Amino acid sequence: MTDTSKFRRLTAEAAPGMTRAGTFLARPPHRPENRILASLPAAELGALTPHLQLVTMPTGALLRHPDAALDHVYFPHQGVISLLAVTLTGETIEVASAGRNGAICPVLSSEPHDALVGAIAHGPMRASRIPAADLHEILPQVATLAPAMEACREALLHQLRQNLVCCGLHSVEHRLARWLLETSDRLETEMVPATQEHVAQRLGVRRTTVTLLASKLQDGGAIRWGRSRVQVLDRGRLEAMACGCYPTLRERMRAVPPAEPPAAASEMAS
Amino acid sequence: MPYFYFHLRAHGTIHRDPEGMELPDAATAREHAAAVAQDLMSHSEGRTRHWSIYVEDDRGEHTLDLFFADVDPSLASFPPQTRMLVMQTSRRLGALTDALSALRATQIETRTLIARARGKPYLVLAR
Repeated sequence: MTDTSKFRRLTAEAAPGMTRAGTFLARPPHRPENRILASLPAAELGALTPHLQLVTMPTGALLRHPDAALDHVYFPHQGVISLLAVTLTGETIEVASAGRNGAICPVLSSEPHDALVGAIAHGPMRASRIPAADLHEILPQVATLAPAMEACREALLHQLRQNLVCCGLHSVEHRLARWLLETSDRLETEMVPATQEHVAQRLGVRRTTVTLLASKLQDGGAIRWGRSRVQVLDRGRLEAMACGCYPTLRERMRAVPPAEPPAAASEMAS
Repeated sequence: MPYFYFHLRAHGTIHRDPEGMELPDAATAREHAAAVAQDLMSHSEGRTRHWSIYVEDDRGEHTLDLFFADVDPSLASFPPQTRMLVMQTSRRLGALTDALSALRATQIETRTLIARARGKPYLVLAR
C-alpha cells in the first residue's frame, strides 16, 4: 500500500453562500473564473451548478484524496492544480496540471490510490469540482460542455506524452526551466508562488538539486527566487534553458480548444 | 543534528546552497551529495561529469568533495581502468575550468587596474 500518510487530506470547505450539502445557494450564478465554465450558456451553467462543489486548497502542499479514487473533474478558478503520482517510498512526480483555462479530469475511469493533488496559487487555490460519474450523467443537459471535456482529455494526453519524453530524455535543468515557464503561463503571471521544496516534489528530485539549479538560473539572470516565490526576469533566457518540450507542447495544446493562454503577459493575476 | 551545505562547482563557478540541510553525520551528507549529483547528471552525463559538490558544515568548514564522475551510473558498465581514467580526467577538467575562471577574473582585474592607472575608462565584458 502506498505510504501517503504524510500528505494532508483534501478538505472541501464550504464557501460563503454554500449549503452544508456543498451546493451553491439559489442566487444568480456568478460568472465563474474558470474559462470553460464561464463559456457555458447561462441555462447550462445553471443546470451544472448544483452538482459543482467549491473547494479550496492551500498553495504548495500535496494532498491525498479521501479514500475514494481520484474521480473528480476539477475546474480551477484561481491558481494551477496538478495531479501527482506517488511511489511506495513516498517519492512524488507531477503527471499533469491545469490553470483556469482548462480542467483536470481523471486519467483513468477509476483513479488508482497512488495519486495526489497539489495546488500552486497566489493565496489559497479555488476550484469547482464534480464527480466524473455525475458529470457523465449530466452531460446531455450541458451540451456545450461535451466537446470542451473531450478537448481536456486530449490536452491531458498531450501532457502525459510530453512528460514521458521529457522525464525520460531531458536533464533536470531543462525540466525545471520548462516547469517554471508552463506554470507561469497557466498562472498568467511572471510571479510563481512556489518554494524549492514544492518544485522538487513536482519534478521528482531532491530539494538541494532545485536549490542549486535555481542558483544557476539566478546567476544567469533568468529568474529571481525568493523564499516562496519565483519571478521570471528574462523569459527569453529561460526559454533558451528549457528543452524542446516547451514549444512542442504549447503548439499541440494550441490546436486543442480551449487553447492555452498566451505566454504570460506582464500583468499580474488579481 | 548538524547542518550541511551543498555547493555546486560547475564550469568554473560556484553556485551556493543558502538553505543547507539537517543531517546526522558526514556519511549521510555524502550520500545526499551523491543523490543530488545523480539528479543533476541525469540525461546529461557528458556535460556534467566534471562537476563536483563541495560540502561545508555549519561552521563553514570544508567537510567533503563529491566528484560527479565518481558516482556516474553511466560508467558502471565500463572496465575499472576505463572508469578510473574517466574519473581522473573529469577531476582534471574540473580543476582546469576552475583555474581558467580564476585566471580570467585576474586578467580582468589587471586590465582594469592598468586602465585606471592611465586615467582611461575601461569597459569590461563579463560573461
